[in-house]
Amino acid sequence: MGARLVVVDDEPQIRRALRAGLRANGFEVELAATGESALDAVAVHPPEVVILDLGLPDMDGVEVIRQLREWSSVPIIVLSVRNAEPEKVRALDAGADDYLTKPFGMDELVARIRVALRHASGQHHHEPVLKFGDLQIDVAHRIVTHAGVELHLTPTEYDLLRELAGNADRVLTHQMLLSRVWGPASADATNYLRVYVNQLRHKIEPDPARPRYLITEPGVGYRFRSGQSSSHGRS
Amino acid sequence: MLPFQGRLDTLNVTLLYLIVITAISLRFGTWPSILSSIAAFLAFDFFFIPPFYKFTVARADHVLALFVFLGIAILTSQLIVRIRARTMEALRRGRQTATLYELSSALISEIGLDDMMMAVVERVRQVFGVDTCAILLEEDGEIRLHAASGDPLDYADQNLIDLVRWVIDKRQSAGLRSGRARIRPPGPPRSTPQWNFAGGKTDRPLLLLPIATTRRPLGVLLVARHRVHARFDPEEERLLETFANQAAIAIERSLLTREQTRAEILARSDELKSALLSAVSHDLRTPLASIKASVTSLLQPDITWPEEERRDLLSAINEEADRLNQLVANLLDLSRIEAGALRPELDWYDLSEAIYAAIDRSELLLRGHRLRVDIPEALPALRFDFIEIIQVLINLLDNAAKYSPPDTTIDLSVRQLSDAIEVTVRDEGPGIPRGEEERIFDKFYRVEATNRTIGSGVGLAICRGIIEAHGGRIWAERNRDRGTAIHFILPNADGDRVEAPTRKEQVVPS
Repeated sequence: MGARLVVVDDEPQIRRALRAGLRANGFEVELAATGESALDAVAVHPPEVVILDLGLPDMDGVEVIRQLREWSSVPIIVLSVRNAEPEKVRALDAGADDYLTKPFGMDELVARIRVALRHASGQHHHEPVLKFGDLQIDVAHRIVTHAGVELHLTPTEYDLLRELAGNADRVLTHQMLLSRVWGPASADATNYLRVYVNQLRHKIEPDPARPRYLITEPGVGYRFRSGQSSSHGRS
Repeated sequence: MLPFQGRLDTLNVTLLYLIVITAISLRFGTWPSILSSIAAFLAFDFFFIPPFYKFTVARADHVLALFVFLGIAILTSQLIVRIRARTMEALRRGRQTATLYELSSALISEIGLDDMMMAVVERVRQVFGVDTCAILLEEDGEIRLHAASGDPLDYADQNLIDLVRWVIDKRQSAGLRSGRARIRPPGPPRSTPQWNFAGGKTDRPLLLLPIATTRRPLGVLLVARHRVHARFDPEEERLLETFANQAAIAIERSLLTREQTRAEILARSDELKSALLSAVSHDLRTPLASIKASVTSLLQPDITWPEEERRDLLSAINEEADRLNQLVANLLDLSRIEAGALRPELDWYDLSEAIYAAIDRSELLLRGHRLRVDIPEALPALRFDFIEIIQVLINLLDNAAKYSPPDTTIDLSVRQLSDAIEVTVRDEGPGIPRGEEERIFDKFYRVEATNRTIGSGVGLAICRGIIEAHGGRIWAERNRDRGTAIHFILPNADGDRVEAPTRKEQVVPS
């Protein structure tokens, strides 16, 4: 039996489409139309992933995340619309694990769910060597190689890469990256972050202008794309 | 006078007296001149008419001479007084005219209503030397302060508002005399309300003048002085009244213009909305029709679709859904541009990343064309809204693909200028008709010559809105041989200047 999901969306058509699509992908789906009923559903029968639309009729989606996070660490994937980047950032900073911009493809949603499940199982955290195609990160020895050739990274570049790759396929907000790599004091130096990402791209990307690993999430942050999931688009 | 006795001709003496009387008339007016005429008459009699030093007159012809002298003195003095009054009046008129002229110059300037009223209160304050000047207008039954200059008053004070209403209703000026909180003009003496202003500031001279045209009352002009004794003299009041009348005409004209402009804007936005609706419904219907057709085909119960055709239909649905999404994004941007609400979320990005993201998302649009991309290495980072600039690039690529025949090349190139970065999208289509290079950025403009009208014609208007919101510029050119080039410039604001790293940097030894 597949993982159990709670899908929260106030639009019946979307609920219907998501239930059909997700069931066909082997998930068990429970639906909720409001924030209240979603909180109930998660409390009564804890799912493995929550898919939450931020535009709910009864309460602010970010508030749902906050309340959930008081007692649950279930992965939350939020659904939002274009031009709502500040809302996405608020959701992520409140504890959401990922976001998708409507409209999205079912393949993309399924890929994000798999990533969330993988991270929830803690799979990445204990691997001594992270492998992404030609790129290998030896966490134990802090050595990064591309196609067997060792890359020379500064400690900051390495920490940044380690943070991103350790959360492969998940979006990390600017604030998360800055406070985790540089410490809490530097949480608003996004240009600073961009410069380091750019340096990293020149070292690890085959074509730095067209990155395949370090993906910009405009207005939100960055995502390390492992290439294992099919989460390509970013519409 | 004594030395002249007997030595001067009496006629000459009378002339001397007349000079003095003339001088007094010129300087002091009616009564002093009459008084001095009588005094001269008496003095002349006393000193120069025998018997000397007595008011009695010995000879009859001297009596005649004396009274002739008195008559001439009074006549002359009164003539002079009248001339003097006329001169004074002319001077006063001249001063008034000059003052009014100075005041009304604030009224004729072609600026907005609020600016004009502000200019008026400033000018009144300067010309009349008042400490506070304000204009309060009545709008929808409410008294609102529109312009104020000088020391602030408590304009929300209920007593003041009542007084303002009284002035507006009666179309009469009212004021507080210095020292006492009494309204003037008093009206029926007993019914005059006593106004008490908050804060004991009632003893400052305050004057409220109605601003009203013959058609309707508009509000009041308020002037006040600090100093208790600096009351407004009647001439000042008259001038202020005249000026308030002039101001009324200007304010009404301005109000009417504003109402008219508002009506025009509404009419134009209605026009815009209907044009938008017709353009959009066409654009929405096309992908919807194709989705509907594909889906109903697939839903037909009696047909078993070969796998390849099934996939074809499904891809068509997918593509059309993307097109709808793109259209909705454009409409959203357009409405925000129209509402003046497009505020780019500026952050530092690499332009090349945005360009490739736009190309990835335009894959379907560009099917059937060759795309050549030329981006110099090591472009400086720019501050822009990633999502909006992608939207611009997609619209430009979409436009190039739509207006150029299949199998031609679309060129996308980037050039670094000294303080900006220029992006050019060039196609090999028929090109824009000459002279239309600017018009293509208008809403709903479509190039006429093309046999198919595709797109709602909002794409380039949105591009312009977005680029201009970034402080950039977008323009179109006909290529020398064929096709169109659309350029846009994004200003470069010292992209790679970054504060010193907070951590020590060392290359990890290998």
